[in-house]
Amino acid sequence: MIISGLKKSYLVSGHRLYVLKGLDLELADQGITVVLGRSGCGKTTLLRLIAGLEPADAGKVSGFEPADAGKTNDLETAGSARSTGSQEALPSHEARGKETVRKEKIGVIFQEPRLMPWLSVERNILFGVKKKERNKEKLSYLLRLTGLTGFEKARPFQLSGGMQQRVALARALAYEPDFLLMDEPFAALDYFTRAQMQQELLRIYQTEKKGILFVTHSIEEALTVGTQIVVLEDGICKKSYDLREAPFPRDLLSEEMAELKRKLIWQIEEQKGRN
Amino acid sequence: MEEKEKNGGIRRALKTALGILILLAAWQMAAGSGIWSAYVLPPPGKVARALAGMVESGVLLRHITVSSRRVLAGFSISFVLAMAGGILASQVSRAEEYYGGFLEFMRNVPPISLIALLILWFGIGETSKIIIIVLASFFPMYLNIRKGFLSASKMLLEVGDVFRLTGWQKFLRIVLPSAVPDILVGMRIGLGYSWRAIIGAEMIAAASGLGYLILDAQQMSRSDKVIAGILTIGAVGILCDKIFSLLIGKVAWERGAGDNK
Ligand SMILES: Nc1ncnc2c1ncn2[C@@H]1O[C@H](COP(=O)(O)OP(=O)(O)O)[C@@H](O)[C@H]1O
Ligand SMILES: [Mg+2]
Repeated sequence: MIISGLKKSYLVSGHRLYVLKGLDLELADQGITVVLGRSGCGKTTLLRLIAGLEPADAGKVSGFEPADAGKTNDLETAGSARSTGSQEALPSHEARGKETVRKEKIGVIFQEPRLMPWLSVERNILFGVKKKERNKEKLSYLLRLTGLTGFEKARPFQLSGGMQQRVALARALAYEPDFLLMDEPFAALDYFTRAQMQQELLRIYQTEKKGILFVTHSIEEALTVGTQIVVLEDGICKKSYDLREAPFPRDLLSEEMAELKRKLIWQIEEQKGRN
Repeated sequence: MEEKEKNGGIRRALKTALGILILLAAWQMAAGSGIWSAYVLPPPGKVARALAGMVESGVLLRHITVSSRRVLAGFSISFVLAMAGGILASQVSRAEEYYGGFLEFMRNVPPISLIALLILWFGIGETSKIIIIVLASFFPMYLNIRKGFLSASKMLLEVGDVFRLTGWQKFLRIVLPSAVPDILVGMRIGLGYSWRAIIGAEMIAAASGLGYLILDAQQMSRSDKVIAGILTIGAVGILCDKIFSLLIGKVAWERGAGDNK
C-alpha cells in the first residue's frame, strides 16, 4: 500500500489546524509497520484517512478500496489514473460498482473496542462476515486464537477491557482483511495485559502473515511489535527504521534495541523542544 | 444475594399494601364521619359491592374488553406512525424540517379539543374514538422513538462503514438495535397515555367501555360506580405497564446488568 502526499486539516474554532502536511509512506504487504508519535500528532487521523472514514484534503492512498467509497471523492485523485507499481490502479469513484471492482478488505481496530452491546461475543466476532460465509470452524479458530473460548455467549459488558479488545481483534480477523489498521489498540490496558496482547498480536501475525499498520505512542510497544518503525512528526513521516532483521520475540534490553530506543526517544524529545 | 432480593420484593409489596390500607381506612373514616353524603363520598364497602356486582354480571369484563380493543387499536396505529416518523427523521436528512413544525403544533393541541371536528369528519363510530387515542399517545411515543433512532453511536456506525455495510444494512444492524431500549420506553409511556385517553375517546357516543361506564354512572348519579370504573382503569393501566417493564428488563444490555426497575 502506498500513501503519497496525504494532507489533512481541521477547522478548529476558526483556525485551520494542519495535521498531515503531505505525508508519504509505503506499507509492506507483509509486516507490521508501526507509526510512532506523540499524542495529537495525527496518528488517528492518518488511520482514518486510510480506512476511508474521512476524506483527505489532498494526496492518495492506493492499493485498496476505502471503506466508504462515497466519502472519498474529495480525494484529489478521484477519477484520475493511478498506477501503483505492481498493483492495479484503484478504480475511479464512478467505476466503483458491483462488477469488476477489486475488493481489498481493510480491517480496523479502533482505540476503543466498539463492540455491539446487544450482541454476544460470537455474534460480535462475526459482525463483518456475510451470513453464508459464517461457519463454526472459523469461529472456533478465532476464539482459540484470541483466547476467548468459553465466552462465546457472553455479552460485552460481562468482559474485561482486555477481553473486549480481543473480541475486536477477532472481529477484524474474521472479516479476513487484506490489511489491518490498529489504532493504539492496547493503550487502555494495564502493563501485563498489554504485554500479553502484544505477544498474541505477534503470534497472530506469524500465523496469518498480514500487512498491519500499528499506531502507538509507546516506544517500547513499537520496538516489541514493529518490522518497520516510522516516526510521525510535524505532519509527515520524519524517519523510518527497518527492523525486519530483528527476530521476534525481541529483547528490549539487548544492545541493539537499547540503542534504537535511545535514538527514538531523542528524536521525539527533540520535537518537544521545538514546540 | 437472591434471598435478599426476594426479601426486598416482599417488603416493598408489604409497604405498598400498608399504604393502600391506610388510604382505605382514611376513606372509610371520612365516609363514616357524616360530613359528606354517601352520594358525594360513597364508603369503600359500597364501591366494592358495585364492583362485585359488575364483575358477577360480566358487565365489567365486557367494558374492559371493549376499551382494551380501542386502546390497542389506537396504540398500534400510534406506534406504527411513531416508528415511521422516527425512521424518517433519522434516515432522511432534513425530512423532519418539513413535518416537524406541524407535529410541534399538534403536540400542543389537547386531543379533546378536536372532538367536535372529529365527529363532524368521521362520525360517532369507532374511528373518532381511536383517533383521540392516537392523538394522545403518538407524541410521547414519537419523541422517544425518534431519540432512539437519532442517538445511535457514531463510533458503532463507523464500525459498519469499515465492514462496508450499506446504509440499509447499517440501519438494520446498528441503528435499529441501538434504538430498541428507547422504543420500548416510548411504547410503555405511549400505552399509559392511550389508557388515560379512554375517557376522552368514549365521550364520543360510546355504548360500552370503561370510559362509558364512568360517564354513564355520572349521568345516573352513581358515584360508587364512577369510583369502581376509575379503580378498574387504574388497575388495567398498571397491569399493562408491568408487562412492558418486564419486556424492557429483557433488553438489559443497555444498563449493564439485569437490574430491571
Ligand atoms: N474531527 C476533528 N476536528 C478537529 N480537530 C481534530 C479532529 N480530529 C482530530 N483533530 C485534531 O488533530 C490533531 C491530531 O489528532 P489525532 O490524529 O487524533 O492525534 P493522535 O491520534 O496522534 O493522538 C489533534 O490536534 C486533534 O485535536
Ligand atoms: Mg489517537
